[in-house]
Amino acid sequence: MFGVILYIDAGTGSIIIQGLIAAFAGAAVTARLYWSRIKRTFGRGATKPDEAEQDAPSDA
Amino acid sequence: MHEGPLAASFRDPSGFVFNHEGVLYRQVNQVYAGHYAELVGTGLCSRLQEAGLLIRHEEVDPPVAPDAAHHLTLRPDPVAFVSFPYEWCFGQLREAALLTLRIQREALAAGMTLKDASAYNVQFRGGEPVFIDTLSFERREEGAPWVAYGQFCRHFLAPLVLMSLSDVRLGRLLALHVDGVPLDLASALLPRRAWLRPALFAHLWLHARYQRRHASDADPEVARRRSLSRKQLENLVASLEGAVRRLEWDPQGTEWADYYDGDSYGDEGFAAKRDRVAAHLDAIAPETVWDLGANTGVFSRIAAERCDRVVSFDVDPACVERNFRQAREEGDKQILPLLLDLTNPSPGIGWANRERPPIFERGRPDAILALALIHHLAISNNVPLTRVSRFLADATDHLVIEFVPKADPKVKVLLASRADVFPDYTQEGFEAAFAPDWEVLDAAALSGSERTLYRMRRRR
Repeated sequence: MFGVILYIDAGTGSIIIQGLIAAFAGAAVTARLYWSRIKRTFGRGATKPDEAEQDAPSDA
Repeated sequence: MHEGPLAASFRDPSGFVFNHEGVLYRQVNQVYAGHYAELVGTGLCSRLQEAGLLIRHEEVDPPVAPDAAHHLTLRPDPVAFVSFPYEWCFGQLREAALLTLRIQREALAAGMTLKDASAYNVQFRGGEPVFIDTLSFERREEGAPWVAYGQFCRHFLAPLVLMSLSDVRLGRLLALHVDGVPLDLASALLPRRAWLRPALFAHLWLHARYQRRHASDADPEVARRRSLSRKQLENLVASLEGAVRRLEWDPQGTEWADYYDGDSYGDEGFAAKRDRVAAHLDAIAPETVWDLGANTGVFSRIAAERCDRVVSFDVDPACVERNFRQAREEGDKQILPLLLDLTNPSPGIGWANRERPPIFERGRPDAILALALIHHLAISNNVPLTRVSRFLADATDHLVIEFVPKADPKVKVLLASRADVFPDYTQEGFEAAFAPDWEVLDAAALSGSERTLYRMRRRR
């Protein structure tokens, strides 16, 4: 029922690089999350963790 | 029989678009049946449609006997005027990019994915972009990467970055490269400071390197082994979204964007011109108007108060940008600002030059506004007035046109550094040149200037 209709060429290079970027972006999210927690612990947390999560991946 | 698939509708085996008696239909093929059922069944389709992100459609009986591959026939809402990415200003391409990413995000959440990310899948209704390819959605296999990631970078990210960081005119590269700007080309053209942004470095420069390195890989396993979780794909989309959102381009300092500020009429004369244009449009009562040389769209808005749809063309990216931003701010659904160089209009491009048709084959307006335009064609570009007349007569039946004489300050500027080789560029010469094609219904001097405004009707 679900014939795969991948009619455009994904490109091997594009597939590999998106894996790297996605992994790196994930790491950046985690890092920001922890950083904002540390800041909050020391009473400087103006940023809510969910906001940090929204912003983080764009730095990948 | 219908007239067959439209010239642009041949790449995707999922279905095709065709015209029948002036109505646009989309055939869904059996091969796509499962994906279509999923798109509808998960509620993704109606969610996107209700949010105004995806074009609405109705499932209808086939208007003509369908072929053996037929599964369903859809009748999508019509789009007033089909435009292409190389006719968009920076803001339009940016909004189209963000729309595509938002839809991919929603699709991932519903267990689906966009199988293509072509800029041609987006059209504009006034200031609002809408995704038009209902067959772009596919059920996502667990671990599958985003097949359309490379296409997204070519169609959206690369041209946007070039427009933002190098020169806004590089958006026109999309007319040369029908499947988007090659990433190695974008990388070669971008200034080094682009690479200080990690996201751009990764999505463009590194991406281009990886493409080159793996260009001749013959082993399908290299790609097949890569597995990405949904969370990872969401991160990828968020990264692209952040990169696009950070791109800016501000319309200023170009030739025409400040045109109305230092104007040729004075306030009173300009108000009088607005009133006269409005009266002419009331007399014509058109449904569709094209405003050629629209600047930031002042007269397009006067037209929009009197008709259904206006396409507002200008050659200056800054004017189109301002016009588009105003349309967005006002929630306008009638005015479509587009980039157009009348001396070199969008040609037919793509396969057999038919895939993306020339701009003047995509519609015929009931009326054309050609205000403060004639001197740019006749003097800056040396087009004989008889040819301007013929060209306009091929495009429409009703014309509101302003003649700008040599005594006008704007024309003096055009003639300041060149020989006046235009002995026929006079009001009499203009009227004589237009007489074979057009019947003058009204002509009146515009107060506060030496200009004359005409309303004309094409001779049968």
